Amino acid sequence: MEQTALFGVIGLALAFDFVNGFHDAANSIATVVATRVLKPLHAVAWAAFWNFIAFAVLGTEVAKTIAKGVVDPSVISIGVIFAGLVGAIFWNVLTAYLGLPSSSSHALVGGILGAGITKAGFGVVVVDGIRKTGVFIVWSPLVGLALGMIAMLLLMWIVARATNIGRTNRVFRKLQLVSAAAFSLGHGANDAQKTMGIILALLIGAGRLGPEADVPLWVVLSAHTAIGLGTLFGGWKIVKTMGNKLTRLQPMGGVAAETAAAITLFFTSARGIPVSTTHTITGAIVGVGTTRRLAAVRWGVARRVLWAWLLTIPGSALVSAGTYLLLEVVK
Amino acid sequence: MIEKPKDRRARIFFAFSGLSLLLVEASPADFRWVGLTLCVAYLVLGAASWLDLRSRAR
Repeated sequence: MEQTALFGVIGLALAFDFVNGFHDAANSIATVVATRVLKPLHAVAWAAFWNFIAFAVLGTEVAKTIAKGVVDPSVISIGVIFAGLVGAIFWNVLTAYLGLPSSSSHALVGGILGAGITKAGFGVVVVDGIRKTGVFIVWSPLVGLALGMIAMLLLMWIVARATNIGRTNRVFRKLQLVSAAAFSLGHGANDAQKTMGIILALLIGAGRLGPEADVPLWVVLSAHTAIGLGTLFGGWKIVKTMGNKLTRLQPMGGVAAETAAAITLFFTSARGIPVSTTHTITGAIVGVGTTRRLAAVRWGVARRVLWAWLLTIPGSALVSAGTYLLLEVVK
Repeated sequence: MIEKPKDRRARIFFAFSGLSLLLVEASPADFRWVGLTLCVAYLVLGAASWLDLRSRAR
């Protein structure tokens, strides 16, 4: 019975990963689609490929933070992870339906927090892990914004002397393929690791692995496969919001935004910080927009995004707490 | 008469600089440098935006 539940929840974790790829597909390809460098279908295939390849590049530090740095691993059970995943998936589906680019990562952290606290009280919260995740909720878009703006100013300075505008544009259209690949790599690394962390915590909680165990290879591969497939089926409603509604981008802007976001994701993945790829690319797109003028950024949309950010952890925590209580009643 | 949109970049960047600094105390010791770097970067961006706005106003 317990084994069936374990495999069922692992399946649900992979489904979350799939939805994560689906939900965040827009982040990887919004600028490529908005600047018409690739057709939407080709863009998602490109992003999915790099999402998958990420397993070979950026380690598993984020997975360890999710498994051991949100709530005390000793309280993690199949029920806690199940309730946490239900909270996170519910929140992702709701925000995807509303066309809001919210954070799958924070939905997951909120979900685990809500279920863990409901099971064993506030004492189980790993304060250092939450502090690390918490400050980067604010810092990751700010890093993306600053790097996006600086990258854009640098590129503008470089091309200022270019005489052939058509040729410059063509060069940037090609460069955008590279920057989109780099961003997808960062997205795959940071986001797939969250699912790996969930599965690792489950396996440790179920006594299948020791507390100091590393992430098994089959977990790494299945998480990257799930996120890659999710990206392939991408969420088009959010593509529209990210690519066109925040600010209109030219190929050079796309390169600057994706490069800035990729640098942020490489750093945070290497240091084991679960950040939102959505926050990061949104910050970078806004950063690129601010080099023209602040009016180029559609602040009304940015404000909606901000509300989704603020509500994600409490919202998913509340749903997961309710789910956990329901499980207890049913038991 | 068309009213020119106000350029609030400098003010927003200075606010981001303050926000980054506020969070330094809340962050784990390993990552304090990130907040401090952000604080300085936004101060510079804010100052540059303010100078740009002033030069355009003349």
